[in-house]
Amino acid sequence: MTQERLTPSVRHWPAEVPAEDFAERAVSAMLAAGATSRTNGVAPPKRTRRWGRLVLLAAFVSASAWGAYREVSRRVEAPSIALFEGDTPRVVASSLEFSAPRSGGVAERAAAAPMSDKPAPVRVVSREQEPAPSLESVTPPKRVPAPRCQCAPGFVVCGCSD
Amino acid sequence: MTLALVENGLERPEPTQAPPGELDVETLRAAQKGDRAALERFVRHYQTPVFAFLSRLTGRGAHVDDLAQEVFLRAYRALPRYELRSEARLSTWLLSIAFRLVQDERKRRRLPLAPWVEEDSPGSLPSPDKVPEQRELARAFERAAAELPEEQLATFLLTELHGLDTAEVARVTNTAQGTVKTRLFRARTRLRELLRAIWEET
Repeated sequence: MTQERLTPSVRHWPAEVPAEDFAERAVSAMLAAGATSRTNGVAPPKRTRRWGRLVLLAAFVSASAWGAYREVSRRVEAPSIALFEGDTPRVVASSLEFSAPRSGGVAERAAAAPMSDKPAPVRVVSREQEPAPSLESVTPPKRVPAPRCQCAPGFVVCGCSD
Repeated sequence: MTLALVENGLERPEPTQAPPGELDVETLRAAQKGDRAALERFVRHYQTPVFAFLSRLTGRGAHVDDLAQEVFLRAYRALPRYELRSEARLSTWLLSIAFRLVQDERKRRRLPLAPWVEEDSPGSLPSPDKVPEQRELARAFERAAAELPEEQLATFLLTELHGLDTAEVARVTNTAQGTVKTRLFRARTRLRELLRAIWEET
């Protein structure tokens, strides 16, 4: 079917026709609705728009208040990183002293004296009876050599030797 | 000075005569003020094209009366803001209200997605349905229209049946003129195919 044949045929496309009293009914509906909504040609603002503005305003105010509260209540803390670092290379050589370990561990002492229901007898020893510890029984503190480290300038990790 | 402004398009004089086929200016002015008799003339002048457009776009039925009433109600509310010097004719303006209403109703799912195909509606035009061949043709159009996307169908109806040019259809459907041309081409092609298939069936 060509366009020339189609176009005049379109006129036969059926359409609804208005009823006789349609205009009267429509005008009555217009005037009834217009008494409330038509004011000097300016349509009343939609309720949804007003609600939208109110919601936006409330969100803005609450966000501002929250931001101000956070700003006031924020604690000032020291920076967690060192601000200044020495540039000069240093050779660290030091020795640390450690106290000698006590003879007998906790587990050994617990095994030697098992727990009993009876309280252990209290032995009263006077200051005079307590013998002074001999020099041989006390082990002298050992000197543990600290690692020697060579740090190149600008390097964070240094090479250390025991 | 005024003449220069008019020529530059900065200021347009209010027309004293309505375009051919449109409501006269005096009646429109009175309708804008809410005069009942003028409003009734306004409705009677445009009710047939509004009914035709709505029923071809959504199918014949009782819903067309409700839709048309809503179109005129919306028009009445916006009528005071309608400017005579605007480029849109009053009929084009009304059809754009009708098109937007149909789109709104589709979104609210108050209308079926495809135009309805009914046998014989009591309110339909009687003349073509009297001839059996024309009745078949009418049914074929309704069946084919049900297959078309709404934008294509509206573009086709506005161009072929309401005589709007591309710029006016673009204004009614709120699209670019290029889109209107594309839709019109596709609608014509698809309708031709569908009608040929329906004719071959019958």
